[in-house]
Amino acid sequence: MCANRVIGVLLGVLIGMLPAGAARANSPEDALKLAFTYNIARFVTWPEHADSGDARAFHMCVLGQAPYRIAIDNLGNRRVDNLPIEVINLEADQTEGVHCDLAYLSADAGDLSVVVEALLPTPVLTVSDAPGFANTGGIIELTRRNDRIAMRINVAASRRAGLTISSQLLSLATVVSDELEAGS
Amino acid sequence: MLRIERPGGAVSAAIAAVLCASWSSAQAQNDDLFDLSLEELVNLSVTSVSRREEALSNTTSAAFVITREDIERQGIRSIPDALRLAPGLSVHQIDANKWSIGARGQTGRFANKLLVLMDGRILYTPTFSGVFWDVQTTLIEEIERIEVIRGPGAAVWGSNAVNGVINIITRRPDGAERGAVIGGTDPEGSPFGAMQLSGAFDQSGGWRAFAKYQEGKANKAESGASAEDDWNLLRAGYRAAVDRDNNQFAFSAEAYAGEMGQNFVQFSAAPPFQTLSDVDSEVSGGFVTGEWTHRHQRGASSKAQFSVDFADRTGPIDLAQTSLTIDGQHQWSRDRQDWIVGAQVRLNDYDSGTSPAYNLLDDIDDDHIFAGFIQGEFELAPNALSLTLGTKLEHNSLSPKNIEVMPTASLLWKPGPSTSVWTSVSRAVRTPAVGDLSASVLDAQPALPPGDPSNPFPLPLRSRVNGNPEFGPETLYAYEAGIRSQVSERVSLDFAGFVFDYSGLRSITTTGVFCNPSGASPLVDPLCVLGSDSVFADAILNNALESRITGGELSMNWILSDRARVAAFVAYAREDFGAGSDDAFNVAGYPELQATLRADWMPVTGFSVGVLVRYVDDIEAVSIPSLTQANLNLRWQINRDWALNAGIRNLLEDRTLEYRSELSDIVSTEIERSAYVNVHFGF
Repeated sequence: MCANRVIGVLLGVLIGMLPAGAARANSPEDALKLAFTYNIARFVTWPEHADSGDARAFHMCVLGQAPYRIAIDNLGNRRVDNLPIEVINLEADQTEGVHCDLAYLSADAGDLSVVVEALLPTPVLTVSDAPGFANTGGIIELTRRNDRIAMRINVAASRRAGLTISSQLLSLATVVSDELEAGS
Repeated sequence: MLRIERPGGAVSAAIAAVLCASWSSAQAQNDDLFDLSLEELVNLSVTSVSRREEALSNTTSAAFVITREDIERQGIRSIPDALRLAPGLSVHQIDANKWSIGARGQTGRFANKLLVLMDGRILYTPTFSGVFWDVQTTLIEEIERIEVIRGPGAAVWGSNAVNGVINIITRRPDGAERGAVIGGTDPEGSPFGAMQLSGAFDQSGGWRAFAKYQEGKANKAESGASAEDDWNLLRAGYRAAVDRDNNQFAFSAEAYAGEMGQNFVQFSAAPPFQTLSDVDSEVSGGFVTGEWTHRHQRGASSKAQFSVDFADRTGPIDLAQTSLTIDGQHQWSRDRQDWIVGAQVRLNDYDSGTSPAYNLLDDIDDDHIFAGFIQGEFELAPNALSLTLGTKLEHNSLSPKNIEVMPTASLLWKPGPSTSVWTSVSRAVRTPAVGDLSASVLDAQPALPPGDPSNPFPLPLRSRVNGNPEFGPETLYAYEAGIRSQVSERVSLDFAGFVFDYSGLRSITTTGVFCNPSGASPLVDPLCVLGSDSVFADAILNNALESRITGGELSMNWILSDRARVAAFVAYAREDFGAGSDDAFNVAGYPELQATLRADWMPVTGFSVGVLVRYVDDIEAVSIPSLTQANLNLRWQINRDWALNAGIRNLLEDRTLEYRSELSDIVSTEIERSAYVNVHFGF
């Protein structure tokens, strides 16, 4: 029902969890997308995790203040690949030297292509809700199809990053190709 | 904050929030999103999440949601079977195509105090204020969820939302769905086949179409003979939705045609004074709806909806009806207040034939309803206490009163984050149906043979009940309270109790006895019996009955693990008649106690087991003993494309008579144990 969405939006604003104008700051949609991201990570294999010791953590970098806060609140005591998650606040202009296993890049954070490029050499799973993300170098794009979140996955990009994505995850997603691959 | 979409859209948003997956009250906290599986996330509506966060346990009514997952795991293929999952409803099958469905102490084949909607479109038939369930057969895969509110919703939904509101919500096509072919046998063991197709409109929306053919096999009467209640129905439908900027558009249409069989009981002048005939009603109909929602700044929104409905059926009585409904509503909020206002126009047009048993006098061939409502919610203490006040005003051309006022007031208190307590007082009415005003029903009860102690005449004595043009509304004052609590991370409890005080309920007054066909009174002219085949005892409908229904429902959800969960409820309702109890007419029986336990278990990924066990107390008014029923369903998602569903319905008994029609015009039949298999192929 379309009006559900209206009401949802209405409530989000209404309940006044936040000052007006900052309604996105604690948006349930962000929480949902991060829940997706956390789940997705369970279906991806990183090359180096196999032999990592207990001391290592799973580095989850988040670009965007609102999703960062949600990640800190909800993922701090969870695990991926049996590694404790360490949530790292990623700044768009300070990606140098930051090691990420997974990077969640909020569409609200502006131009992501620079960030993606800076992260790329390492095996990092890039996830974003920016439109067209999976077609432009990113690996997983979370897109809104009416009232649901859908995934678009660029398998070629994941391969370049050295990551293996399980077929179970692919079966729930739309597989897309990118311009990079077409050119190479 | 009770967020309810109103008549036009008629979804109770907050309810969806509270119980979005009926299991999920236990996962309703925001952070529990992170405990969901990817499959669950993919199927989660963003708006339900939005609401879930804030509106959890914020409704001030007894609400329950039947989700698509609940339906799937139990292998359910019909709306009445799905409704059996909700507490406080009373669902009984009368024959292969007739049902008694009601809420909180009120049910029957002609139950008339339940408002049933599909996507906000009213499904009840104004001739008797009830629903022809045999044609409410939308493909079950089209349904997203069913929201059930026990108790009145008149302040927003208007008349007929007296004992409960059911809103069947279809899936919104989003352009990302797959096509499907579904076929096999349904839980009653009857064959069906269906196809679903879908497509996208670029990025902004999608469409879905389906066609379905279904047969129902004949059941046996108590005598052991076939009751000839076999049926078939062909149905097709189309839905489309487009989301553009701040506007959302939705369109849907469905059409159906088929035959509904039954053994029709007719009077005969020779003993045993009745004969059975196999009458197949030809049914056809459909609807077209359109809906436009516009989002304004700062969360306000407006919505407009229209729908046109057609329904036609032949014999035992021919009925044709066309309805046009136009709705508008607007909601906004400011300073911790939420407001919603709306208006509705509904026009009905009727055409009816005649039959030996019932006739609708032809002087009513249309009616109109104009209604408006307003409701405000006021937060008295932030996140702790809120008050809701609202009322609906309705003008119905069939009601002798010019305007019905249906107000409600409710209070919500949240002593802690996981508990909420609510209470409400409301007034609701059932406005007169065409049948109340103009019907003439012959042989509502079997004729009394000559020699019966209650029959002083040497001829069979037959009852004839006539409508009353002065028939007025039936009124309810409802007092309700409830508590919801997330007892632990995995267990949630919900209790609701109610006292319903009715006045002006339908009753009858005897008006005399008449020889048939001469029409002379045998009391005045005793010899008139000589040229007659029977004597009519005539009565007229009026509003002299009062009653009180008291009861409550306790339900529980328990998530044992990621793979296993249990839901259970107990519902109680007891009716005590006050003034006019000797003149009660056509009071259908209701089981005072009902209990249901259902469990889902997924031993290995892709394979799930659903079990449902139900106890239904005896129903005195229709002489049905208490019964226990059990269903088992196995579902195997073989791979992405193929799924197999198999099960057994009515495990415990070979055959069960669930209910008897309160009008003795048809033969009620026994539902047999059945085994079924159906296959779902997605492409």
